Formats: sequence, C-alpha cells, structure tokens
Amino acid sequence: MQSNKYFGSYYPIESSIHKLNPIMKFICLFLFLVPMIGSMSLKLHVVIMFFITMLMYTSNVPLKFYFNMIYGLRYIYIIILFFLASKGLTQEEALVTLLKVTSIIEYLALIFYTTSPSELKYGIEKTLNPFNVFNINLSKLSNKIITGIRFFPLLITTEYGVLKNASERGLDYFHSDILARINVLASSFKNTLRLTIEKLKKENFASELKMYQISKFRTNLRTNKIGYIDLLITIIHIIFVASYVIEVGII
Amino acid sequence: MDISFNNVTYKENRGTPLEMTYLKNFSCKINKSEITTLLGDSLSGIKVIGNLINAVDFPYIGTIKIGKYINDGKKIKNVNALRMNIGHVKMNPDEMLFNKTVKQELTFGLTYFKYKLNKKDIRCTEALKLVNLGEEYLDKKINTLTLTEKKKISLASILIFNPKVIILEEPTIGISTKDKEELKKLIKTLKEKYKKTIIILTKDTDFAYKIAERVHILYKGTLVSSGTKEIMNDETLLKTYGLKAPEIVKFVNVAKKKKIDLKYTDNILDLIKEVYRNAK
Repeated sequence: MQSNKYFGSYYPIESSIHKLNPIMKFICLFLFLVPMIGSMSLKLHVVIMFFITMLMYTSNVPLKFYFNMIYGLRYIYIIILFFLASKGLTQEEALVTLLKVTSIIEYLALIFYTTSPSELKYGIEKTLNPFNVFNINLSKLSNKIITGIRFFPLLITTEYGVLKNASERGLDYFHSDILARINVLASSFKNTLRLTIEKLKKENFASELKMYQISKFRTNLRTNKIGYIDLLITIIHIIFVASYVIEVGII
Repeated sequence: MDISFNNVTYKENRGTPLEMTYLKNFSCKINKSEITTLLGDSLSGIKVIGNLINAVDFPYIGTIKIGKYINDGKKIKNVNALRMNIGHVKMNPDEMLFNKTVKQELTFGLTYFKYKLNKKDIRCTEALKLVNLGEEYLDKKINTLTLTEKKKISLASILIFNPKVIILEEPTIGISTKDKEELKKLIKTLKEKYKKTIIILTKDTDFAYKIAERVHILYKGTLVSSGTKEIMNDETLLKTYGLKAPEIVKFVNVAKKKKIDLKYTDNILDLIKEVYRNAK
C-alpha cells in the first residue's frame, strides 16, 4: 500500500480545517491570490507563509506530505531561480517570488488534502454561482475541473496497483534498478492510462447515481455549515488583502 | 514449497495518523502439498498474506521464508524465480486484471517469466478449460465480463504459468453455488493430481470446512488458533473471533444438544445418511 499522498488527493482524517465550509475555502483562495499576485512585500509574504504553516499543522495531515511536495518540485525551483537571475532581480525580489510559488503550492495542497472530491465539486459550483447570469452550466464545469484534479492522484494509485500485479506475474518493478524501472513504467503506462480513464468514468457515473446531475442544476447536496473558524480565517485573509491595498497606496 | 512466517509484523501508512497494523508477531507454518486455510474477519490481516509471500509487500519486523527465499524487506535476487512458483488470485478481480483482452491477460505471466513456449494459444485454451470457460473468451475485452467471469479469468491467469503455490483470496465472494462446487473440485484436483500447495484466505467457513486440511484462525493480526479442520467444530471459538460456524457444524451441534449422536462430516450427503441411520 502506498503511504505517500499526491497532489490533488484527499487525506481522510478529522481536523478543524477538514470541517471548514468548501465555499468559504474557495472564497479564501480567491482572497489569498490577490496579495500573491500583486504584493512584493517580503514581510507580508513571510507572515502569509507562517499562517499557511499554522493551517498545515492544524490540518492533522502529516507535514512530511507537504514538504515532500516541495522536494518533488525542486527542479522547478532551480529553473525559477535561473529565470529570476536572468531577469536581473534583487535578492529580496527573488526571495519573495520563491515564497509566492511555495505559498501557492502549499495552499492548493492544503485545500486538496482537506476537502473531499464531492465537497470540492460543491465548493467550486457554489463559488462560481454568480456566473449563472451568463447561462453557463456550472455543474458540468465544476465536474470537469474536479475530473482534471482527480486525474493525477488516480493515475498514481492505478499505476501502483498495476505495478504490483505486473510484479507478481514477472514484470518486476520493486526489486529492479532504475533502467529496468523505466522500462516497466513504459510498458505498463498504456494500461494504466486506460484503467484511470475507465475509473474516472465510473466515478462520474457513480456521482450521477448519487443525484449529482451534470445536465441539471443540483440542489440536494449540503455540506459543512459556515462556523466561527470559517469567519476567523476569512477575516485573516481580508487583513492580508487590506495590507496589500495599503502597500500599493490605494488607501 | 514450505512457507513459514517468523514473528512478522506488518504495518501500512507507517508514521502517519492513518497507521494500521495488519499483522502482529505472526508466526505460522504452511506445509507443501496441503490445503491450508487462513480464516479471519476483514480486520484480521489475512488480506496482506498473499502480497508478503509474493514479496510485493515487505514485513516491518520479522521474516517470511518461502522455500529457499527470504522476504525480510531487503532486495531479493532473481525475485522472478520466486514469483514463478507462486500464483496469487486476489479477492477483487478488478484489482488484478489490467490488460485489455483476456488473451493478453493470460499470456502476460508467460511472456514476462520468459517461458520457452511456442504453444501459447494451446496453453491459454487449457487454462480456460480448467476454469470452465470456452475458447471464445480469448478475444473478449476484460471490461465486458461479469464478476464471476473475471474471477475465473484471474484464476486462469495464474494457473497458466503452473505455480507450485496457489493463494486464493476470498475465492467464494460473488460466485454462485454451482461455481463454488466447480472451484472445490478444481482445488482438490490441483492438490491431489498436481501436488500444489493451496492457501485459502477467507472468512467463508462453510467453504473452508469442505476443503481445508489445516486451519489457522487470525484475529486482529494475531494467530489465535491452529490445527486440523476439527477446530472449526468449536462454535464458541469461531464466534469469539468474529466468524460464523459452518451450517453443517451448527446442525450437528444442535443434534448433539438434543442427545442425537451425529458425527461431524464435511459432506451433506454423509450427514443425511447419518440422520437416516439415527432415525431408524
């Protein structure tokens, strides 16, 4: 059984972050993106990073999963550093950019680890509700977004299952060297991809059976209520936005 | 091929809040050319036995000795020589079948274990015959098959490379009574004619009682009772560990309470004869 969790997968455990309302999570995400895109203040980014670390700790998801994600993206960091160096940015600006990338990755990981797929669907659909005026089928849109997000973790889980079964029948992965492993992955990838797409189709079908009707507006699912912690976290996000607004001198 | 578990502890998701211990200081010996049943409920840990024997999973503590090979978490040299001798049929065939067509699924083991065989088609047909399926199944797509058919294909996909040890994980779930009888016959043939070592991991005590020679009962990852299948005559023991007594045993026990002396038997026809004799 795999003990690592991958980007986009859900970690089923009890915590106050898991209990947050998915709509509030998405509103907070939008608020969070405002200073992330606009601000270049090192102090603000350090405070935001500290806040995210606190949320990660409160989520009860082992911190190693979050850190593994940064480690997995180490080459991307190196590429970003080279890119920043070529642009002639100062040390502080480079540090702020790296903090921005890390914060966004960890924030998204936090949302995915603590929100189940059905809650995510609900959250996306309800957060995008104002777009109903343009007559967009939001149920279908949110379903497509979730299918995209679920694809990678499902692919990894399916690949792991296929590798185990292939190993039992002569195509060994677990006792092989790196070249043999690449060969095994290449030979099994076609089947893994087919099985993942089949599983996603089955999941979508199952969610339709559970009254998630893609073609119609859904009304039956009600998830976590909005509580005090939701409000507190939203207020903190508003403070971050406000400090950005003060920083750029709008107020 | 003798198999022995020596103080094996197996955990999943180690060091996380979702840590789960499946086996705890588990020791047991499985003799060759015998039908051994490991009985236990869903949390007993029997589901990890197959992967540990096949060296796909590794013990946290302890060792598993499979013939001359040892699975102690370290890399096993020429692991395919071990896996060629072990066929593991999983409970859920969807976990096991990953190829597109039945033929690809059946020949997968033959290809990668490097069998020097030119007659793959004949071998496929023979394997299908063993599980009572026709030649027409060879070109069928896996996702169009029913659960029972998938279960049969998964069994055929390991029988095709002729392993010495066959591990059957919950073989009776989702199959009809007729299929159960066929499976029973097949297991007996494999044991008697081909001297295979059969390991059945199940909670179906009715099926186990009909077929097992040696029984190990597991509870929460620990071995709680071992012996011949006569240990299954003890209804209280089975109930304590979350298992249901075989119907045939229940009937004999009720009769014994009413002072009717019936012998324990695994065959319903023998039991009817016994009842008839007593009635006379």
